[in-house]
Amino acid sequence: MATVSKKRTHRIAGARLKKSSHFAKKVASRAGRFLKKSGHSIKPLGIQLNREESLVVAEALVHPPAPNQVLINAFHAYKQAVAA
Amino acid sequence: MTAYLFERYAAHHERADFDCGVEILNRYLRERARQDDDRDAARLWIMVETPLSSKIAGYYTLCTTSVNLDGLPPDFQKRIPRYPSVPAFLIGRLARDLSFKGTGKLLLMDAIQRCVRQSNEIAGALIAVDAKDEGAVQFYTRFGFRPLSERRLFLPMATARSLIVS
Repeated sequence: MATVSKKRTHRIAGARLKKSSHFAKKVASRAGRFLKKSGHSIKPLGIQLNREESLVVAEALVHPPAPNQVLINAFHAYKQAVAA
Repeated sequence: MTAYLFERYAAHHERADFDCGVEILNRYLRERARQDDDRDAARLWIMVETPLSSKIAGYYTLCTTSVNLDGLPPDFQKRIPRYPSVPAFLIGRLARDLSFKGTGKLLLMDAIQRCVRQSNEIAGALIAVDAKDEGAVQFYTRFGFRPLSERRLFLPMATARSLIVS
């Protein structure tokens, strides 16, 4: 991922950052569009997990737990509600 | 038992009257949900009591995302797909109107069922949810969702699939 300095981001947008937050958002939006067009991305897409969180997900994917009773009961209630 | 229908958002649905008690979710439905749906950023599903009813009992949004795993030990890497990110479905927002108490689980079950159905055509290894507050975290935890990060939880697709097919 390319890092772009604040100064350069604003130069890309063709405007200086002003006090107005509305204007700041407009500048950021224009800079974002430029970066997107040029093949860069401002932030990584998707959900980024650290090592501990990744382990929890991997464990659940390898050994998926059976649905708990609350989930089973809720699904029965749902089936009745949509079939009624 | 009251019957409910789930349908795509349409112009006759009255968004202004919806009140789930959480302003950020009310405002999202009023101001951004339709735009997100139009722009394919999130699909908006509405729960109503009767066909063509304008009163929204509840809503949820669905989209796809990816979960980037980091630093997994080699034994895990052998048993899950060898990609840095795992595809997933995301229930971004879910809310029911205050006058339809007890229907949150129906919204969640419809969302889960829809994800399982879609997973036959588009791969998704897990269903992630964004909980807006601590109450929402507890709501999802009761159904077996596990913490993913601070306010995100997940249910493995295999668990959801075994629920639907059982």
